[in-house]
Amino acid sequence: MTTTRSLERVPIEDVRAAQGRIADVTLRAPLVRLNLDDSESRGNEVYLKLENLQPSGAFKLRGAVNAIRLADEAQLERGVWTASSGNMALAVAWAARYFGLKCVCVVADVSPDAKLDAIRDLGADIVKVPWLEVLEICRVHRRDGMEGLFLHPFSDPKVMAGNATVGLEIVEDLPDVDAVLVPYGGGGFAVSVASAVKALRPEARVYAAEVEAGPAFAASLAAGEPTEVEHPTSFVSGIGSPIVFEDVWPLARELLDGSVVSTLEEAADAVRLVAQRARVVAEGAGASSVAGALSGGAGSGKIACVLSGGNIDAEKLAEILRGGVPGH
Amino acid sequence: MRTPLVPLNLDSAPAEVFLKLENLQPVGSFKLRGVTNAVLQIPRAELDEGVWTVSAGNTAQALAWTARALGVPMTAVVPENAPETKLVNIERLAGSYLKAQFEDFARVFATRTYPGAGGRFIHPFSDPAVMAGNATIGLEILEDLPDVDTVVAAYGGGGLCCGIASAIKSARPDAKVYATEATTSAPLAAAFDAGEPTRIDYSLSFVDAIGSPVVQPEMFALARTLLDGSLVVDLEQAAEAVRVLASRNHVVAEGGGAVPVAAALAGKAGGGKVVCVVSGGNIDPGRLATILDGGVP
Repeated sequence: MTTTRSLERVPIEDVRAAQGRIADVTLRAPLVRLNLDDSESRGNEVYLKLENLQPSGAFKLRGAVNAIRLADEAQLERGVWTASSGNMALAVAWAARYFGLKCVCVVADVSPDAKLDAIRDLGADIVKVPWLEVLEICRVHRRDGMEGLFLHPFSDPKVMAGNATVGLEIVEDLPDVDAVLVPYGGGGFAVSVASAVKALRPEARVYAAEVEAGPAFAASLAAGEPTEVEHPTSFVSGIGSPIVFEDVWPLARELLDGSVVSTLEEAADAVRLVAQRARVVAEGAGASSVAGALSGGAGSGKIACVLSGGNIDAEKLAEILRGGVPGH
Repeated sequence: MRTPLVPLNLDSAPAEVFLKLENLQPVGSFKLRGVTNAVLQIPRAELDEGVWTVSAGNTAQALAWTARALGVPMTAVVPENAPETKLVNIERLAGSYLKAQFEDFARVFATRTYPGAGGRFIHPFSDPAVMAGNATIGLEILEDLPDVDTVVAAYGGGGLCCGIASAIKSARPDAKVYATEATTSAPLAAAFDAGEPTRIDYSLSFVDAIGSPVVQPEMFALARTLLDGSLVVDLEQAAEAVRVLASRNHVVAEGGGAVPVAAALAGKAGGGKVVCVVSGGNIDPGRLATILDGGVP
């Protein structure tokens, strides 16, 4: 049952197949140019892939829908379940309701209220557990007492193929893209997007975007091996982890060109900037890619930032709009 | 930009509500469509002296954007009390502005002249080319949702509503198209009631991109043949709609961009498939923060 086998690149044929499989349920999110002053852009063009516009508020719906559509009916009779800090739960709950399936979400007890309310509104049952237990489920791919199809938030080939469509669409819309920044949480999303981008445009650079609260991938790259880091709770709840997952690490090291780590202040500034200039609401994790591009960490040229999600508590967003950094 | 049409993520809505996200346009409002269409129909040689308009807000930004792309000078005649943030937005796009007394500013909409403003004048709404550009919104709605029952859009000068209605009604005569206004300034509703343009009490609010003391007579002549009425919402409903759009659909709408959603949520647009045009997203961050905290700016 326990799977510690390393992940492999998502074959581009699987990504193309997934694109057709999810097209009627998910949004082909637009890639928009971010309006920057010359002093901000320093000659670069920055684009935003607006995954926050997905019906569930984040890219995760792509993977969830792809995996459910690939499952057989007997598998789905007892419903679906997942373990995540929020956005995967929202996506699975949304998809379960769409397909008429029972759904249970095992969530970290530190998840923002906005996310939990939205999960309940979608008709899913919630099981709250400590954050470390969510990590453990993600590591071992199981939990006692759960039944139905388990949708792993990141390291499941079917989920990954669905999520990789983000990379495919970026290259479709911006064929001469120079760099892509992807928020790095569990890492499955970053390597999925990178699989598609590198297959279609090998010369493009793909970077992980992390924040100073739990930059496990950057620390592991620096050490050359999986390394634990401090993971303080922050308003950037969608990414950040004390560890890199061992099944993701080898592929992440091979596919990603580095990690751009932003401060929480830079992440908050990016949330404010995209609200004013792109008129969209990004959560901290979703804006971390933009923060990374603006700090110069992704180099120069045409830079696509995956704005991965928009599920942020209203009061935290209000604080950011007033110039603050939630939690500081 | 061909903007996406997305469902409103709110189960409790009294209709099947969709959002046409014009706030995602590069300058944050639908105005770019009409302005660009109008400017591109002018021969390039006639653009050397530049373009100008009368607006401190979304039209000014849209025209500055287009002018910068074409490399021609741009001027906006703005009211003397125009907020500094809007003037900065014009300058960021390499445009310039002339401050006018409010009465002089209001007169330009009819006279189409202003001392010191040179080049070709682009009217913010009352111009066939501008309306044709705006009408592409209606065209796209029909492409994406052929069985649409109702379209709701904000009424400022009328160019948005009438442009969209022209496109919708020509292809789908049974569909309804409603204007939306805020209680603080609803001259179209008053004109519909009276059967003619009527001067109303006008007060400023955070719904600042729409509303005026009276509808332009030539636009009302068109509006009364094309529109099925004006839906009026109060400021609390408008603020609630801004809040819903931010928290459920993760987009930033200005007050004028959110009033169609407010009308739909109040049940004023009826049932069925209702498309709300989220026409713009240029709202002051402080005001948005107030709304997110549950207030009305």
